[in-house]
Amino acid sequence: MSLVILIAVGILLLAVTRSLLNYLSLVSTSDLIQRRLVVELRQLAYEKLQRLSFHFFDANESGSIINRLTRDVVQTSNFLSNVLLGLINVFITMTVYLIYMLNIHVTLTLAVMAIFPVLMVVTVVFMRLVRRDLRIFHKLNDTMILTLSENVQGIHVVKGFARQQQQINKFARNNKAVKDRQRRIFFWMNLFNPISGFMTQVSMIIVLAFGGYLVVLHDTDPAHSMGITLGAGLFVFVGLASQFASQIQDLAAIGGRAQEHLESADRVFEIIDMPLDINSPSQAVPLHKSRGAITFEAVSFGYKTGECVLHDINFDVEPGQFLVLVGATGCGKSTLLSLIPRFYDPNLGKVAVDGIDVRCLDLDHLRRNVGLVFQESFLFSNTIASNIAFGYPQATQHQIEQAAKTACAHDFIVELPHGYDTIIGERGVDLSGGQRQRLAIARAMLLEPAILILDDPTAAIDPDTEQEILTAMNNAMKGRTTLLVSHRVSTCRRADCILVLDKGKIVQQGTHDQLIDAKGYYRSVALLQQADKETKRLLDQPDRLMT
Amino acid sequence: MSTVQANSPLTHVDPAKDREQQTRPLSLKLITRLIGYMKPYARYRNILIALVLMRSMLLPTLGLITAAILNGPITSIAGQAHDGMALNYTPLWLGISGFALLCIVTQVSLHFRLRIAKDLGEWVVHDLRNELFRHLQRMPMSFYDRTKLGTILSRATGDIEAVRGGIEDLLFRTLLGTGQVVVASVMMLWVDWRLFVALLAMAPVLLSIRLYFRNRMGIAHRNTRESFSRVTANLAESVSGIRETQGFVRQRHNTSIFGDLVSEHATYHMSVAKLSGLFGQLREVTNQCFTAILFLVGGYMLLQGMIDLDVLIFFLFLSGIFFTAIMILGSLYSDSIGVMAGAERIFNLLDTPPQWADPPDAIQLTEVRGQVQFRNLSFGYEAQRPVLHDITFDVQQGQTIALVGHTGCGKSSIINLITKFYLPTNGQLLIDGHDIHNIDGDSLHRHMGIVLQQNFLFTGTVMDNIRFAKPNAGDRQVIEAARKLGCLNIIENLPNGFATPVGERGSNLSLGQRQLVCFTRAMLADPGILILDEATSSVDSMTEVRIQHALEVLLQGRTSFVVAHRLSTIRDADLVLVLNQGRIVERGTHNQLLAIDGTYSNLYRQFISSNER
Repeated sequence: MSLVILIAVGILLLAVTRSLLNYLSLVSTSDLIQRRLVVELRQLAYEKLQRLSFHFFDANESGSIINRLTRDVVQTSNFLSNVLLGLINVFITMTVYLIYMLNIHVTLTLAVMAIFPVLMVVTVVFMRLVRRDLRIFHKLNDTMILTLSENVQGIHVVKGFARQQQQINKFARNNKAVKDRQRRIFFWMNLFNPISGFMTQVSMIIVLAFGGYLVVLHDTDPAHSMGITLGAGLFVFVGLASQFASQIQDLAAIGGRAQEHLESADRVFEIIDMPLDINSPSQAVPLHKSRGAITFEAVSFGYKTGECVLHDINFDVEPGQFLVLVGATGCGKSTLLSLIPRFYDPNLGKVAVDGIDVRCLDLDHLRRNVGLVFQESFLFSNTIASNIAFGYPQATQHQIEQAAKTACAHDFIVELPHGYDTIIGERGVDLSGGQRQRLAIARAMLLEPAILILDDPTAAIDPDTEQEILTAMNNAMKGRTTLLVSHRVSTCRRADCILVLDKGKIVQQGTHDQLIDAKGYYRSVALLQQADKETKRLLDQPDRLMT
Repeated sequence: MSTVQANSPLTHVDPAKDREQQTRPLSLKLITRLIGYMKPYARYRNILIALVLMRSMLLPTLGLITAAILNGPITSIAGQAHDGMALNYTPLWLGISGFALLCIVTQVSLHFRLRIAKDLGEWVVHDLRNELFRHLQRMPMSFYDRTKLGTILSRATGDIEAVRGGIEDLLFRTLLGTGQVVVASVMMLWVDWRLFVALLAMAPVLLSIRLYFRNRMGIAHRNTRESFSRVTANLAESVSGIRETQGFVRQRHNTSIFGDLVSEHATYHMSVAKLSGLFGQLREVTNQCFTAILFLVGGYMLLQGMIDLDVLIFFLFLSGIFFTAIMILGSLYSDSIGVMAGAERIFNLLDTPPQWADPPDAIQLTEVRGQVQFRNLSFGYEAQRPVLHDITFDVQQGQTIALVGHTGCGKSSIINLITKFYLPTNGQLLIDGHDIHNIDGDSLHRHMGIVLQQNFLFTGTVMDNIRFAKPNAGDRQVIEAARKLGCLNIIENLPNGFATPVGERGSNLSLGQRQLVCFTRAMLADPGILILDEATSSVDSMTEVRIQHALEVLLQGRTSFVVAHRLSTIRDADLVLVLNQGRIVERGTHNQLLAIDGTYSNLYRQFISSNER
């Protein structure tokens, strides 16, 4: 009975030790992967993402970028546990088995190994095949998700044109393409597994046949050098060989799995390795408080090589001046403005702030000196206060309210249910366009920038709220160099200089008084905006019509 | 004051709102419903079950055959060789051929076992996605006001992937595991019931371990998912607001916020890993513990002569199978938590009924003349907060109605009712004399052109976007529509003309260009009723001239409702409705209203003065 107890205790001890080791290895592996690798990769990629130039964002859909930082990062990190650690494990085990097998019979071992090179070739071929399909699959998947998300965002268009059925069919087509590609991948993967499995079993057949022969050799002539005994020889060898074979199969499976990880790694490292085309130079000139002088010298620019959006732009803005850009849709106004905070670099010529080429300035300093308000300003789903303090998160409540007052936003903010702590809805649906733009102006004001860039902030606004924004803009401009895209003649009147752009060139330049008398674009625009005479007459003498 | 903003996140996090409802891990209803999705593929499902069972027998057989060949043919030949007898190779060859044949069968069955499982998963996922999309299309507009895009996307991605895992793997492994447990139990019971009772006595230990982990793992999984959705939400806004981030030099700050979120997620993930690691190992240890106890009890019984040695050996062997199966079932249990949570969330969405739908006998409009009547109508997006009060007006075929008033006065709501995006709360809305409740929404929309403020465009070319209004229109019709509106050359001057990709949400086009594309889209539909929410008040003047001209053409000869911001549109309207706080306060033509010298002429004066100051 004591022996029974001893064995029972032995079983238990062994189990506990094994479990403890298993647990430790599990936890340390996931610590390494989840807490270090994934975190590190995500941060690296995110940091890079924040600095990449807009060319990248123009070229990649947001869904694909998000996928890279979520799913693909995890897949890349799992390469370590699923592939690398797996490989080490398999190799160590295989070596041990190999040594034992070689000890028993060298030739028989080699016979078992014969299948190995063939298996390698098969694995490589399959890897290639599947990799291509995986890449296509990812693309198809992105398209499908894009269709879904656009249908949610544009649901009023879909319903408004009664296109539900058409969109259902479109999604079904996308969905089917994903399914077909996925099944194709499954087909190849699941062809690969049995084939590699079968090949390892072939090695067992070789062992049985060849080993059987060797046993016969031994028994006919016990002194034969090639012979092998049945009990201590072949029995043990078969046991070892079947273990060895299953390890080889694991190896092949790891090879097959590696594809998905590598494919994901490609997508992650593409971001991390992408060169930064716009960066601070190594010996950057600091710019703590700019005076606000801007110079464009023979600037030409195109988004793609060969394309030319701006031609030979030359102008000067003195500190505190007010410059208005006028011109038809697509003439290059927004592009011109985006060169000042270096969202893009010119192909030819130079842009200078305070007389220094912006490419020599410290990029962060430069941008802190430039306040930006766009046509459609993006507000984050966060409190109003954090949105205003976006550029300077340390701002005090007082500073935030000051900025809001300058932007004529304070009054409507305090009327909101939670005042400055009101949270803006996911797509800012709770606020009107005019309110959003005033928040955007407040956000720019908080930084007290020397240069203020207003890229047509009233473009997407109802005219009845436009007046409030115009007042906000007037407050904001005081004491700063201001560049404004506008179509309003009333605004242009107050400008120190008006630039008229046409197809990327400056075609007219001067004050309102100079341009209004010159024949050209500006004059025709100004005439268009005057109210017709009949209406004016009615407004002046409304009672006359009644009689 | 304070500097609370210093550590403010990029996006607001409200833990109470983010909290998902606790899901019950193993709900039979949920499982049956999931299994129901395999019904169309019943043949494959049955084949798969057969294959799974067959393979569970095949694998041990292969090991047996190897042993049999060694023990049988090889031993006998060795014996013959040893004794110097004639060698009979036939049994050896037979054995080896049998083995090879069985190998092939195993591998072929493996291929189908894996492939059919994966295919089944893919089919179900495919069907579920289509169902989800169809369901979304049926939901009325109010659903989209309430539901975040991120929520819908995560149903169609993460949650559906979880279900895939459940279908292709969990179900069959559960079947197999349960089968093994049952068979092993029956056999053990048959061999010696006393030992089996001893085994059963230990079941409470297993149960209590499971209970201990059940809630903890549920919470850990949920924390992980929630922290992950925070990571994704933050990421999405980071991409959308990249211009702001770079322009305001927020990169470093954002990176540290993101870092915190990612680390937080990693911590939750680790706690899941630790818990499930501990759970797995504890199960393993208890199983071994049971084996040890069995060994003790069995050994005692053996020594007491209560059982034979072969009974004990057999029992120990069976209990090995029993515990392995239990282990597998246990690990399946923790996997299933994720699957069930995903399935439950998808079904919750699918089960949300549309707030309203067209009645089954709805009138199919084959043409719309464009007669619209509002009769004492009131409406609110939420029942307790009406935004339109007692609206009454008549519109004759071909008239242009301008809706004027301050933001929030109810202009857009009137449009939302005519388009049947929402239904009136009280009163009547008649189109060509039919109550809007009884009109089939799709048939109405087919005769309606809608241009809304957002000017939403889909990823694709300009041509695709215009053709959206009428999918069977040829290129020539599209070009003709653009020509009629007078914006053909604007489109042709784009980098690739009609083939220019508009970018995500039209970002490659300027606002003015986007609006003209939307006009052309409405023009192509050639509608009886045109709905227009003019948003862009100030595009450059040359484009403005084009837009005004295009509008004139677009409005001609059809009933039009315009949320008007352009003087030119208002001046030419047959009827101007001035709204204030959900009521019509003035109505008439431009000239009549100016003469009244009321709200409208004030609005108008303000507008003129801002232009000419």
